[in-house]
Amino acid sequence: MNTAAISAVQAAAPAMPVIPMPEVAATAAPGFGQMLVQGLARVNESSAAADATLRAVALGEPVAPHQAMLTMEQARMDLHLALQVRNRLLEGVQELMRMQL
Amino acid sequence: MAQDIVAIARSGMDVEWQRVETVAANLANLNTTRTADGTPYAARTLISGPRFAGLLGQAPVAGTSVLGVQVSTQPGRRVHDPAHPHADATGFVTYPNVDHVGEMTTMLAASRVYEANLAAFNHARTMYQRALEIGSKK
Repeated sequence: MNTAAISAVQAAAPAMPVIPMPEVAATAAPGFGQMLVQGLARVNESSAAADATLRAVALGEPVAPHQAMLTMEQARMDLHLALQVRNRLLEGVQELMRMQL
Repeated sequence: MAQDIVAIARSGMDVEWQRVETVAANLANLNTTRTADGTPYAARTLISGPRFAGLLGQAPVAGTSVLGVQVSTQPGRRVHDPAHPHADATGFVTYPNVDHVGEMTTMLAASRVYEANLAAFNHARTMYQRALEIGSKK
């Protein structure tokens, strides 16, 4: 193979500018995915707490009614927050999918 | 944080619930003329105080908590009833020093404070839900 011709072409071609790739997710700060998983773990925690309180009520243990209601409301509030985060995320993804390229 | 308001309101409800429990115990023992140690029942008062998130005076108040239950040392009501098995040598029976009207007042006040804490929680929840509506398209 005649490599001389290739090197001649390479020499003639202008040097291609090197485009630096953006640094993906610096490891110092927790990524969005990690935060999402943490938030979901908290939702799961509060829903488990509500579960435990309800079980105690069902078993006839002396649980003050406000304890049960507050634990359930906390679980509901956490779930709503997670739902809203999910809605925003999904909206963003759908916007990106609709983008004309 | 909404969680903080929930925790504060919860502590208030806990304390008032226990206060009503103490009142109920006093009312239930209104006629207990003899306890295990031979004396009539003594009225109990629940003492509560603020709870701080950290060092006293440096951290914000993070609700309330029960500090203790004080047993009253006031003398009890004495009734002349020689036929009563718990009557002393002079024929007097000592009844508990529970203030019936005072206990009813304490109970009503505690129940109002309980409701106020409930209102605080409900408002915190409404605010939280409103906050979730920020930027919502609906």
